[in-house]
Amino acid sequence: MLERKKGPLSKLYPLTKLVFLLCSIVLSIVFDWKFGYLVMVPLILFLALFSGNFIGFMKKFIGALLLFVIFVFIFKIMLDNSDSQIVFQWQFIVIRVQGLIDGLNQTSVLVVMAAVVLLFFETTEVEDLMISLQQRKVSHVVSYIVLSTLQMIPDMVNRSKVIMQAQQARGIETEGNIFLRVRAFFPSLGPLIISSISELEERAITLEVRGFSASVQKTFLKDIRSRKIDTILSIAFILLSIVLLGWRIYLWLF
Amino acid sequence: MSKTAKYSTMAILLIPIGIAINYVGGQIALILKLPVFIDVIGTILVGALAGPLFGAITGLITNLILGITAPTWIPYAIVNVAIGIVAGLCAKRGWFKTFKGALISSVLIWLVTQLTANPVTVYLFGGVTGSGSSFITSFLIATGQSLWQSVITTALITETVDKFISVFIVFFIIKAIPARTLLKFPLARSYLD
Repeated sequence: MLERKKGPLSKLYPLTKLVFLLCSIVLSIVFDWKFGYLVMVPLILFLALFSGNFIGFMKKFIGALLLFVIFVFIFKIMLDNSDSQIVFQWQFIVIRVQGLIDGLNQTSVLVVMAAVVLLFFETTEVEDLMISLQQRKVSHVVSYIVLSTLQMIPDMVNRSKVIMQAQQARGIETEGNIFLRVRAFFPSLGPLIISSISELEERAITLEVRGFSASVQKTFLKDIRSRKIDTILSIAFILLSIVLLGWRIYLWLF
Repeated sequence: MSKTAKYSTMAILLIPIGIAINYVGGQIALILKLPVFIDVIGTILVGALAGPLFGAITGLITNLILGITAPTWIPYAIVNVAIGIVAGLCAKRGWFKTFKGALISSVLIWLVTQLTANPVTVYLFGGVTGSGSSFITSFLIATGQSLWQSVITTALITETVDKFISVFIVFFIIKAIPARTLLKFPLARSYLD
């Protein structure tokens, strides 16, 4: 058995967390950077404390966004031609308030999205998510595609390494000038793709034998249940989002 | 088992392979230190063998799954979906069978990439592409060009060769697939006489 995810957030029903994820993204799109940076990000970081792996989460969070955030601020500061207050000036570099606010506005949606998505998968097994979606009448084909892809990727990465080594042994250069390396690309990728496609029919037959296309109720090895707290939390998230959205629309109109 | 059920099982099974090819293709390009991404070969291949719908699904799920560890991929799902649809439509017209058709397909796929990727980059990412190409964009902005000009120029530099190579790799791979395997995919008629 795989190692289980720990922490109280992992015990919630996956769809409860999915509702939270979608609500947070929608809200951070309609509100400006203050909501994203002062409400959502602190809230998600606080929740991440209960994910059981705060340091791992922070590493992924910073790793995913650092380059992006730095570049956005560089772009916004360079493109800023307003005459707002100068924050910092050194030779030709001039940083104004407007440039910083533009940078915050541009990044807030993506920072919230990245944080909430990472937290979601930090506390949810993809398998559990798929089971809970299937319980809500999403087709088992979707589950199959997602779960078998997750198995397939490391498998194909390993196979591509084997193929590259085999081709090297046959004398194909994988290092050297750009033309040599371009020439090595096709013999590395081609056999991988063609062999995977040739295996397809056997896999299709195996799957059919196990009743993949049979139109009957599918059963699950794992039992995942929605508890009372999940229903309460889901309804609370949705109601809160509707109230906030209404408030936002009210502010736009009047 | 009816014939259609078998077709669709083969097409469904093709999707995870397409997604993995998207990922592995990008990885091999990285290992070989090639200056291109080559991360949509799988989407184009599935589109070409199984049609626009399956191509689009491959594109969508590729970006969602890569988004589990790198959430900035998720908004670009629209680009990958569009590529899958265009590849599927081109294949339906039999364009992946001939060199000339593949050339037309690569122009269309290149065009739809430019049309979908640049708005995402500008509006959502403020011009940042997240890869090393952001250095080109920031250089162009520093020379006084607007954000749109800089993003489009960067995309023209980095994407053009990439999409042409990807389409032609798929074109040659389909040529290398034996007819008895090809026959089992929904668009087999586009390739076999």
